Amino acid sequence: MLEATNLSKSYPSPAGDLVVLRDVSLSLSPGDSACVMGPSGSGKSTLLYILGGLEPPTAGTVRLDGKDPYSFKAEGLAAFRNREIGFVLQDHCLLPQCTVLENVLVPTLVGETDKDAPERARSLLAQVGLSDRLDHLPSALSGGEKQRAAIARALVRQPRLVLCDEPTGNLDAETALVVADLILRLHTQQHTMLLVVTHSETLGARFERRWSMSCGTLTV
Amino acid sequence: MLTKASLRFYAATHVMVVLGVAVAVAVLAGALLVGSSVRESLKQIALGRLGAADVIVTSPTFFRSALADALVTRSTQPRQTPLGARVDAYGVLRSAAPVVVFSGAVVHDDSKRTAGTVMAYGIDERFGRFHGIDGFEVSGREALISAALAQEVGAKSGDSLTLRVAKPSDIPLSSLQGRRETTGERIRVTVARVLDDSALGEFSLAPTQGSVFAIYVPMGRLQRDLGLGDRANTILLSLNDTADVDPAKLVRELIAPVAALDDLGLRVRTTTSGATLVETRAGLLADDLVETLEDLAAREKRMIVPALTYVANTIRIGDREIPYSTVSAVDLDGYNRMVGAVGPGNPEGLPPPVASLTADKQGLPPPVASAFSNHAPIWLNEWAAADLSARIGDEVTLEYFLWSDADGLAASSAKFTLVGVTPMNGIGGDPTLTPDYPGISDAADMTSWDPPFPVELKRIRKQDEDYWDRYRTAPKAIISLAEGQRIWGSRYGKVSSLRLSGTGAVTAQSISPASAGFTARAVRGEALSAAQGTTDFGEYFLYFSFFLVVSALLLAYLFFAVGLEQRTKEVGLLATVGFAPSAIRGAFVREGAVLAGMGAVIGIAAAIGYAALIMYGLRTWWVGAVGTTRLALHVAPEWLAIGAAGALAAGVLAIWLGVRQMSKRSARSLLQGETQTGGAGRAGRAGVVAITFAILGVGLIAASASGSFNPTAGFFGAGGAWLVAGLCGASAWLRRRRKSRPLTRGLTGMSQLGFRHTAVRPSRSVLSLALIAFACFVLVSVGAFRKEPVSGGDKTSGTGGFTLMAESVAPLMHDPNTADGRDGLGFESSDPILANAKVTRFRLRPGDETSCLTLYRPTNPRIIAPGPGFIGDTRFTFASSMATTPEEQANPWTLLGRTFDDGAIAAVADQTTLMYVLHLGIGDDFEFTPEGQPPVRLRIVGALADSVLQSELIIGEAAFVRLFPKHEGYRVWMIETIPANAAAVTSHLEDRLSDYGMDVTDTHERWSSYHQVENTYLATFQALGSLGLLLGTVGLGAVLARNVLERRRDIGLLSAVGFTPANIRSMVLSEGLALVVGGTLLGATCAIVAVWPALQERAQAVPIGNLFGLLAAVVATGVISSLFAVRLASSTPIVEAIKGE
Repeated sequence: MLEATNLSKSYPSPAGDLVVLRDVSLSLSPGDSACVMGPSGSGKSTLLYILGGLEPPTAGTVRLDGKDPYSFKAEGLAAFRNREIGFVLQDHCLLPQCTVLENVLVPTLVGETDKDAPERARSLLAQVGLSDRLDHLPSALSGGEKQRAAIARALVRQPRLVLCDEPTGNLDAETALVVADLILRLHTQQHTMLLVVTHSETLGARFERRWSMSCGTLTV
Repeated sequence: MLTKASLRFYAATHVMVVLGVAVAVAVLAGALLVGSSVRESLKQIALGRLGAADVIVTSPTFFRSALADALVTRSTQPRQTPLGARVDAYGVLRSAAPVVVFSGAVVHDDSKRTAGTVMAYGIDERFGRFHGIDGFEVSGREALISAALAQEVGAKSGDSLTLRVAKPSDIPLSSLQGRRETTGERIRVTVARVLDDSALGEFSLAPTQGSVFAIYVPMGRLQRDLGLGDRANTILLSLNDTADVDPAKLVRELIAPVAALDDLGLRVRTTTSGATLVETRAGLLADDLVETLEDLAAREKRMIVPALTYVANTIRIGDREIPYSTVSAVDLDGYNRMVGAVGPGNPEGLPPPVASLTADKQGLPPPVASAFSNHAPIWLNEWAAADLSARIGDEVTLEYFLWSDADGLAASSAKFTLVGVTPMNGIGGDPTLTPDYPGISDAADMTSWDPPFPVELKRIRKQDEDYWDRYRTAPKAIISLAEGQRIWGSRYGKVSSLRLSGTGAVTAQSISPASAGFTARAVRGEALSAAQGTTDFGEYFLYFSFFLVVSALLLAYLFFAVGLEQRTKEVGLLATVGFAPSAIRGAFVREGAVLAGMGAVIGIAAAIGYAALIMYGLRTWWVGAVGTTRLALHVAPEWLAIGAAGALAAGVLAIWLGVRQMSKRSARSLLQGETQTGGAGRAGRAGVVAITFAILGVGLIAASASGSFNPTAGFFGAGGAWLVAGLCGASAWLRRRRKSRPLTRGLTGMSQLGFRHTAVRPSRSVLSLALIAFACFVLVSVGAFRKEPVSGGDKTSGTGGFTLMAESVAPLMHDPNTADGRDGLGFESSDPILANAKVTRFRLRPGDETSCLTLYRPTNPRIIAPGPGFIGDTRFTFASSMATTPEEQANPWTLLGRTFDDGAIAAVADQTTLMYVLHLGIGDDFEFTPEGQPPVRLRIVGALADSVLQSELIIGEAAFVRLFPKHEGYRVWMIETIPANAAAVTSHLEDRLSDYGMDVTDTHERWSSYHQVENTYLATFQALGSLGLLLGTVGLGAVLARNVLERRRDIGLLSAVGFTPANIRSMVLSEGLALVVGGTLLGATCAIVAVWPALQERAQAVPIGNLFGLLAAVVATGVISSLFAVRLASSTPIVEAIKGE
């Protein structure tokens, strides 16, 4: 279970602290999915990064299955992310030197050994429709294909929590639809907790739970 | 507008492009400036050291110092004189001064510090006047010394010095009459003044860049101490016009009209019989001179009778003998005709001066029953015949000494048959047949003889003294000229006197001064020629800067290309809005040209700074290589312009190539920000080029191995070809299509990720690889030649197994390996120190240094010739030779005995000397003109591998004595002794042979000094390689940093999925290491191939440690630049990285 309690985030600036998140609390149970919508600069991505163990909050706590990621040291936090969280970013961030299959397997290069990972990666790639692109480099893929590969990569470690930051932001409507379908289908199959940050109404409409974010405040 | 705006907006990126071009210009133009600066410096040093001297006139025979005055007097006379038309040559003469010039050694009397190779000048007021320096005089026991000499021996004004010089001798030392025991002379002087460089302190007639050890002593003092009379051996000439100086013409037209016979070493007197007798102070007339006089006699229709008179220890018939007599070899018929024709008491030509062959008429006993023997004929004079109770047909034995440089003085004999008796009132009593022999002809009686050979005074009888009193040196026996020349003739001549019929004048004007050895040398012209240098520094710096220039241009290209990659969307936009490809190219090339132009301007200034820095380095850090601190920067605008234009053109070309590459892409791909094109196609092309160059390399090696191509060039070409092949191969490999392979975990997996990223931007990776590989190629190929100190040294080593090498000022005539020789040299016969040393003697003709210690081009090289026994010892190792037969291959030294139909002389030289100083190979000829001789052509028959004999060329002894008869005895000793004895032998020789100016050096020290020079040169060029490495490091660092910046999101994502900072660091570092190690291996491997022939020749001397050190340094610098990128990668916060901020 994901529990975020009274999260706040501010950045120091010459004009005083810039508050990005204000007292945000939320929770997700396994199998839950939600999206956070809001305009640019509302703090939704910051919330995502805090939940994903990438950026500590100024105040408040994050617990995933009772564990506070920020109680870990750097190595432990990295291992936590590797084990428990899957990320899908607006920019797919596929490694250009690796093939599609290798990219999906990148998270398995660190953390606990997982003998089944290659098979799972192939399976995921089959599920996202990239079975015939395993040996292709990212440069040979279209934008949608890249994002599908990124989704497979996010799920290869079978994370408890999948965080997506504008996963369709760079895609045309048709491709965005396909990608959204994939994300939700795989979420259902793997019984993960899914939180998607987007400003796309179309994508947001696919989620039962839609939260809005404005000026750092989350309205559930 | 666009160009201007772009220049302003992308200024930060452009700075690196400008710097890249600037470095290329600086390096290229700087290298050319270095070359011209060295040449100009050498020219100024050489010309400055000549003072006012343009030409020098020398002669092996000392001539009147007044000859110089006669030249000046004659030059000031009107063009037409009562004595005849003044020749034109005088028109160019400005002034002249006589000098006595010697090379010698100087010892500080108090400290005993010694300086060898000192030029000693005997001068008077004419010297200072000649150079236009008032008050440059020295008198009494004073001496002026150069600052370098003062520093070398630690002398100051008022200190006492001993100058040791070879005592000049008119009579050849290697002849019976030569005085071999006193070949050196010591002269004590007091330092009056230490001269600075501007006051002729560095006066030198031979171009050398090193310190000049010069000492000036009063000419009169030198003449007196050396018994020279008023004679000198050199005239300095200053000319009004130094263009097109013809030395031979100067001798012919300047010297001949004013020379006297004494200047040519000749004496002429009229005999009582009215003949003209021509003799020489040397005791023997050189063959050339004899020919000249024979031509003169033929022209004037005069009879000529040559004679060769020798001293016999014994004239023996049976058990009857006469001690110590002169015997003349003469053409009796000619002598008869001449005396008969012109004898004053014999106006009708009667009676014949030679006895008839019948015994009766001479009142001699009849022949003995044993009848005539079959020996060559001999005539005794009446006195000797009576003293020996000779009979016609008697066997007469002549016993005499012969001098051999190899064996010393040895007794010899020849048998003759008595065929007649000469009258005492004719040839039998003619003392003019014997030239003046100091110690003999001037003796009051025979017991006062003091010849340079042993005389048993107790053998001299009363009747011998009576004969001496009455007939002096009149020969007691006559033999035929041919027979006499056969047994007594030598390389110095075969005639001791010539008599011409009649009293017609024999003058110097009728004899060519050149035939007496007078030579003129255009020293100013020689200096200018020599100043071109053995080592074209510009060329060398250009060679070794080549990779540096290429690296700088690659760097400029790299930064420009990276800048273009940043602007792909801009290019795409321009294409979209209707810019034609040529217009886009034009815009960017204009921008690039402006950058290149700015780089060139900065580069020109930097070139001057770079050249100044290199010149400073040559004067300081690398002074060991150039041996002078006088090299200065001379900015030659033409070289600066050439260098700048070359690099600028290359820079613009590099930029144009980058733009061309970009403009080939479609507008759509550019708008999408794609930067790589045609992966597969380019991989294929790169692969084809790689294979082509690889095959070319194989071909070159095969051709070299088969002998159809020069191995040095072949292997170097192969190394270069494989370097290109390797880079193209890397390009093809990085661009290849590949399938997924499971990535491993942990460090290996990180490394794999890093390695694989090199394929993401293959052009950048290949350029980085090239920068590192080029630097490595230079560093390793140069470093492979570095010479490490080699201990020990058997006879096949570079020392030849010799521990010590000694050189004397005066010739040493005796063999120290024999008891007699040691005795002759002044040692005990059983000298315990010398008895434990084996000495190999070498003849020496001093000349220009040929080792890497000189910067000047040798035109008249130092030559040595090994004495007996050396050839068979098979010492040293030959790197290559002309050997064809098994015997020659087993011992290439035997090639020194090879003769050539075209008259070339076989010579051996050190390989380093041949390669870097003389620029010659096996079979090549080196032609030079020794003083007073026709040109000599030396043909290189062998090259010694890294030896201690780098300062000289080596020829066979037989050829040496034929070519250089004036350079007598042995002046170089190579000594084999156990190292523990070396110090004792050194001090013993330097002490006991101090009068000969003996200077002993350790062969390893000498060898090391050559190595030091070579290593210093290599260090110079390695410094260039290091600069290249610096550029490579900057390039690599820039590429990696750029890559990291471009991958910030990837890196952020990796962090997000659980990669630790250590994982990220490993990945980035691996990428850098892949390029560094790849470049290093490629560069080093190709460099080793390139210098393989040299490595093979040096075998055990390859500096493995040094090379590994260099490679480690390359890797270390690569790692450092990678760490910069690593730091950049780890310093970016994850979220910002993900956001791409």
